[in-house]
Amino acid sequence: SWYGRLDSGQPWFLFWITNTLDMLAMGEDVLDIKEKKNIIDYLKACQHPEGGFSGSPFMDAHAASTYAAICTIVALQCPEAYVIVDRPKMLQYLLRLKHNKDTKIFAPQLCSKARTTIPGSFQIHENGENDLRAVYCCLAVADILNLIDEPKLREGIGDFISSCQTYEGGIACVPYSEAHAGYSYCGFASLMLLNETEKINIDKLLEWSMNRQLAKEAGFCGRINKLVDSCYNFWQGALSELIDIALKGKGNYKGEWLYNQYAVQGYTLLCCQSKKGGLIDKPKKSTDMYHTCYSLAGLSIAQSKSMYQELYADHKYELKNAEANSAMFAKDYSSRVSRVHPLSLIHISEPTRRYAISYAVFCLK
Amino acid sequence: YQRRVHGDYQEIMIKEVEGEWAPTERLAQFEPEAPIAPIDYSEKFKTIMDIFRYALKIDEVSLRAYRLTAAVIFLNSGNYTAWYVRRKCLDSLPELKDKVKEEIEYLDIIAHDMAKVYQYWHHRRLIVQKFGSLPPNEYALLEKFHEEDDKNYHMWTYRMWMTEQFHLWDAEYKRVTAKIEENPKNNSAWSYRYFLQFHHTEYIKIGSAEIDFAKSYILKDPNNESAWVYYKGIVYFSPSKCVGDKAANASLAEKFKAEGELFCLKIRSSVTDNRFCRSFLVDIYKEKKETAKSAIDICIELIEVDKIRKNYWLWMKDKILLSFPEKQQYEKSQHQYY
Repeated sequence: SWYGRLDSGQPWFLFWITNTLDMLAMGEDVLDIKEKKNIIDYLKACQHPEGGFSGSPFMDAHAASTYAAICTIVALQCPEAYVIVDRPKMLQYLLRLKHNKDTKIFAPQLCSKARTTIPGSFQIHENGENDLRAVYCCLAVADILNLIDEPKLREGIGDFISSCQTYEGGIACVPYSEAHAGYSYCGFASLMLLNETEKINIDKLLEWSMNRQLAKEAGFCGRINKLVDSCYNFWQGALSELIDIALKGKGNYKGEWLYNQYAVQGYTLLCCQSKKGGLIDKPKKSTDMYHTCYSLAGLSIAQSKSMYQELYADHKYELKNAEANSAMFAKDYSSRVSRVHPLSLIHISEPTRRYAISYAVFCLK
Repeated sequence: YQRRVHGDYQEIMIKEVEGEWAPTERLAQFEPEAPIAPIDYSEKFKTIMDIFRYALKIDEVSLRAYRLTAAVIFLNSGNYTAWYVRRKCLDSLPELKDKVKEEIEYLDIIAHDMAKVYQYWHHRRLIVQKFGSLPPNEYALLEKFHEEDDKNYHMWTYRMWMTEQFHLWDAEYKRVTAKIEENPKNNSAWSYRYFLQFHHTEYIKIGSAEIDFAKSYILKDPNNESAWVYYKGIVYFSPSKCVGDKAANASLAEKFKAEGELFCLKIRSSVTDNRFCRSFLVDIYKEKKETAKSAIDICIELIEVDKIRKNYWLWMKDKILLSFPEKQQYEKSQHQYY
């Protein structure tokens, strides 16, 4: 079954669940001490002795599971969670996954590192595939753990991502492949983390992304001529906000996003709620945690206006200003969810920091 | 395992694999006091995974470990460590070192469940790379995947790798032309065509021909975004990605732009409410001061014609205005959009 496959990606369950609860709770603590302890114990068991987190205990570490685990730890917002991370080993792990120009090609074994090398990229696990998901997962983790200034980690990534921008304007998983919303988010978010957004043609990216909103369905699709899917609420909606930030607050129209945020809310609330609870891709699909999490995160961003001024210019986000910044579909506040940051759904709360992450994360640094 | 896997056979394979490991050669799943999101595993899943965890712990690379990976992959194709162990076995065991063809056959047999499995495609690439030439069954297999889902991202990315690895440019060009004809809105096929052409051949040799190709599909269906974006992609090519002399390419692109303007104007007057010709015109006009006003006029049209992107066109209009400040006189003479 679908969940059987997730046996090798279990931190994702924790990521989707903690973030979803966070968004619905509007600032309250939903998980009790015992539940948090269970999560922490489990993540501890998933941490690999040589660095990184695995999809399940005893397996090799994996960049996506590492990302999910670290973001879950951030979401838990308690010191017991932060201290379990082995930072020095994590750096070694990330460096092992990284491909640079001088990455040596060993004997032509199936298991040699550089069988599919692209300088500036990361493998998603040792002897695994190289692509943009890995780049984003590794960089986000490095940023949260304050490892991102390490030169060998940063080297070549901007150029690699630049080479992944297609003629369509969006970004693909490897050079010359098809532009795709998930990879576009990963690519642009990575450039934001590196502060190298000038390496990509932002106008073309924006044009491609805005054209992914469908006139009839009101939601977004992920590639040209494909179908709507509510998870793209986040991949495209967050991308739109990241572009606004990269353009220093000039990527919005009178505070509103450049896509029709009311239409996205409408699609999500009217078409994507399952009677059994949770959110779905599109009508007639069944609910799953991935869609619940990302559709909701996209909804969160769609319910808000640009906050560039508060977060990046004034450095002063106050929860009480949330009303002024909202853009609710049908002016209905009952479906309000708490605001997440477009980088990794980190919950925005006071006091603000560089990426508006909870101050408690400071402990990790 | 060179038979099609089906219900009864699965039971036999798993029993055989289990039989190769002693009852003590097991390592249980880590279970916290109260699992947060317990997966409902079947008995056979639990047993095989207990054995696999044990094999990982002792770092075993052997024939029975190799057979074990097939069972794990069958139960959970996403188990990336199982695929890695499999490759370790293929690398180091003398009995398996030359069994590349057999491994490809195994991959062919299990293919039916693997369409969206990253690990499968990665493994296949490494095995075929070791094989050293295009396996005889490769196209037939890709066609089967294509029938199931003609936009399978993994399949198209694999196809690109395959073409580059084995220099299949000409044959693939014919195939992609047929695929576009089969489904003109298959954007993956258009994207692959761009890769085949502009990655491999000089812009100056194919620019015109490819534009004519795109135009023919636009005329068949002016709402086919793939064809329009392909057309724009040729005109606004990325110099770093196009082979050939950069200056010659640039002047050719200017010529294409001029022709493009005429083509778009024609579509605008003959097809009602077409947003693509208009957005292409905005791109062309907003580059020069002399045509900035036309760009703004078309943005205003697009606010009506492409309502869902109203904010984007309003933003675009303001952006163009800002970059040509003399035009601000223009806004005083206009109506509700200012």
